[in-house]
Amino acid sequence: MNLKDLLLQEYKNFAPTASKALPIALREESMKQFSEWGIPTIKQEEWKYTNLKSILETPFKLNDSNGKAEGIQPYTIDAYKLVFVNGVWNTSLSDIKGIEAYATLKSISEAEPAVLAKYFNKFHPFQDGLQASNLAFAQHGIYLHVAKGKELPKPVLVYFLSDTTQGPILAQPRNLVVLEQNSSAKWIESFQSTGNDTSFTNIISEFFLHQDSRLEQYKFQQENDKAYHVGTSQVVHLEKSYSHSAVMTWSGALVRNNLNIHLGAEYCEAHLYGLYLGSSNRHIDNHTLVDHAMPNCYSNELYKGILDDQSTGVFNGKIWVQKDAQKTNAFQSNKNVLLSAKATMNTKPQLEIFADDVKCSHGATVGQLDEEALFFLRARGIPMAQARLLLMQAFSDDVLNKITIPELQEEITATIAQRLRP
Amino acid sequence: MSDSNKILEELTQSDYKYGFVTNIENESAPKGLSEDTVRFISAKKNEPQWLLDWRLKAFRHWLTLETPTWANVTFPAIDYQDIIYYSAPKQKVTLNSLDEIDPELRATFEKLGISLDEQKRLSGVAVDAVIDSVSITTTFKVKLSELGIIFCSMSEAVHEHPELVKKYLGTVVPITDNYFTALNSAVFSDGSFCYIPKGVRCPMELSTYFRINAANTGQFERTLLIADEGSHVSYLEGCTAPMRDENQLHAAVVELISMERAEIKYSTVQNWYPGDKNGKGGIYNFVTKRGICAGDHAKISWTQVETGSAITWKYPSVILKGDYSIGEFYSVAVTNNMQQADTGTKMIHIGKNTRSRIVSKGISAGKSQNSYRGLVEVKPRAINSRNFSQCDSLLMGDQCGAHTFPYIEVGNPSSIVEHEATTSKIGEDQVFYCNQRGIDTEKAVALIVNGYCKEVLNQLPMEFAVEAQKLLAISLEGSVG
Repeated sequence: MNLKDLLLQEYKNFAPTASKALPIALREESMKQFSEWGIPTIKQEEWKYTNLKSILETPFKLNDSNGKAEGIQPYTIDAYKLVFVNGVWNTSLSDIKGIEAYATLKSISEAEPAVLAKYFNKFHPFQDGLQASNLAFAQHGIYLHVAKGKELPKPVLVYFLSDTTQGPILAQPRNLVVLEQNSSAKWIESFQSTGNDTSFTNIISEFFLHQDSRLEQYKFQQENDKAYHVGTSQVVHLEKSYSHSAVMTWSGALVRNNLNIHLGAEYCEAHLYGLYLGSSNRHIDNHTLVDHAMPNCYSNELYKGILDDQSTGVFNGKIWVQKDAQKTNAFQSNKNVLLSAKATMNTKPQLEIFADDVKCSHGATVGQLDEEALFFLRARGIPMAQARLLLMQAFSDDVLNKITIPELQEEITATIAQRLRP
Repeated sequence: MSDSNKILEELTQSDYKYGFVTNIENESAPKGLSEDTVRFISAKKNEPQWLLDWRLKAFRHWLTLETPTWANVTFPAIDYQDIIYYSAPKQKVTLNSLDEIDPELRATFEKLGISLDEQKRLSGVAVDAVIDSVSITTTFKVKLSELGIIFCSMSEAVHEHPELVKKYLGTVVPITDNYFTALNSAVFSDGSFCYIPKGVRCPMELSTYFRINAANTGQFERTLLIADEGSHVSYLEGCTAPMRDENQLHAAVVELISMERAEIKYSTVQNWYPGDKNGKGGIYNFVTKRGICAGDHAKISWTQVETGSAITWKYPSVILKGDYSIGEFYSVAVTNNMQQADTGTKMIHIGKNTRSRIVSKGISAGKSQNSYRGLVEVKPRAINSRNFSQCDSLLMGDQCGAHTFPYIEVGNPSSIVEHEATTSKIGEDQVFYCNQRGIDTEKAVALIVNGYCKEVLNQLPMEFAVEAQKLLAISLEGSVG
């Protein structure tokens, strides 16, 4: 049975048990769209370079609550910990003691309908079958609401684990994070897997930033080499809010990260950073959108990639400057290094500008390690392999430096260094 | 602000100065498109059977296609049955000298600023003039033929050099390439053909002028240019059309073939009627232009100045097949009022050590939309390839749009591809600097725009550069936002 039919059938079983927080009409509508659109194909411009064909026939198991959480590789940082296994929140392994003083944290299926009506599914510039499916199945996920004027003392760290020891797993978590006025939070998503079978994660996280709030979000992809991942983060900014996102991918079979930022009021600021390391047959696709809807906003984007073996990298960065968004400053840069003859990079930095008093620039490069820099190092007695490593580390440091939690930065930098070593 | 508004107004009210209609008797095909139309055109031109078969094949393929919609332009659906596909000015069958051309026609050329005899005497530019898709005359033919250069109309080439036409026609842009090439292949009526033999450096600029004259006609010309080993040619193309309320379709195909060590420089100054300031009328310019560097060390360079047309939708491309071959693309695209442009280039690197360079300057004013769409593709075996792209946009006024869609696909680790783009408006401080030195705002903007486009204008041959600068000045002077 192909994936589309599988999801359609699963929905029939799921619909009666679905949380009532979300109107059933919305789910039905969404499922109808899904049955029309199906799984995205390369015929669609947004999916031109990323082909999901190879997973269509996999017999996935949906939201399997029997998964085991053994084998998680925990980070050492002090954080509010949440664990999802196969798309289902495992409350016994989670540790969120003390968070209630600052914020509300519960399952999205327990969120008040009024809250969902106000914040849920508000910004979705590119709808496709996968997003429709995620919405129809929206049940498992976190709803975090940080209270006015509060600053979370610790980051929120969410592990999404796919336990594939019992066969292929499909998970569709849906998160909603709301930051009230003057609040601040750090949000970390870590994707991991156990077992050697394939898994498919189709996740959407939404962030809603009220006036003067501040969000830092990190996403680390470290699943096994058969894992498929399509993740979407949507950030909606209100006045003078600030967001800082870093998305890093160094494993998985096919990874697609969508990051959509909507600057919906004046004086907002958004920073987007990305790092991706391709080896073996890995396919890594980063799609970003910065939508400048209002004047006087600032956005800055830097994505860097190193591609080895037969890996493929895709980058599509869109900047929209709407008609009223005068005095916009928007910058974007995508830099890639190809290490092997069979690695491929497809990049498309895209600007669409409807206002005249703006400063926008984008740049993209694809190249290799600098021969002269290598020679410089080798002339000083550093062996070839180590010289290359040094250069690659320096290349990725630009992005790694943007992790503002020192212990986490150290940990990820060490992991990356390990990955880069031949 | 009120000043600049005034200037904008003046600009939008300035008339399209090439908008006259010449009363020449036309011989037309009936309206509409069917196999009969294709056969009619072919019979009219007394074509051999293989060409008719080729046209019919294209037509049958076209029937299976749908109008593409991916471009960043909007226009009402075209009724292909409402177009006249063949319209030839009535004239004597053969012309022995320029004096025998219909005097009305010559007056047309005078108005266009291409005085044929004058050009012959003074500027040393050989001209092939095409009105309503039929080639009227080719100057300097004798002088060129002494060097073995063939420069004639396409229909002449079909009869006199069938082996060349048959060998190369449709090899760079196959009939199945896209919707408009299939249409063009089925109904093309004329165009220019040029062959430069081995080792010959063409002593003068070759030039074609295109003009749509009759109402309701589409122009479907076909240009084929072959530069054999070690040769060199510079080719110019200019276009104008009368002012009409309805939209007219121009779907041309240009094919360039550059052999080993040959070099082709192809320049276009496109000034089709852009429609009035409310977007009524104007030409749809849907053109497929592509060149192939078939041999090693070959070079193709496209230069275009696009100021006209209601909609411009074209991507002059280069296939870099030979090792060490070079592709270049220099473009200035200006849109004003309701004009739309979706233009750019494709550089396809197949050979080793190939190089390409893209410089694109977009200027949008009024309510226009200007897009750059480009592809740089480096195939895995194109090792050590190099590309540099720069596409800048300049916005004037707060109702226009500038868009950039660059596709970059790199398949090997020894190639370097760089792309950079900026979008900005004319700096107030720059204008102020000029004002301070006694240069009024209007002149200052012209100066800044000229400077902004210099990199591209410098690539044009002398005669064209002057014309292009004038065109820019007419289109944009003073429209500071």
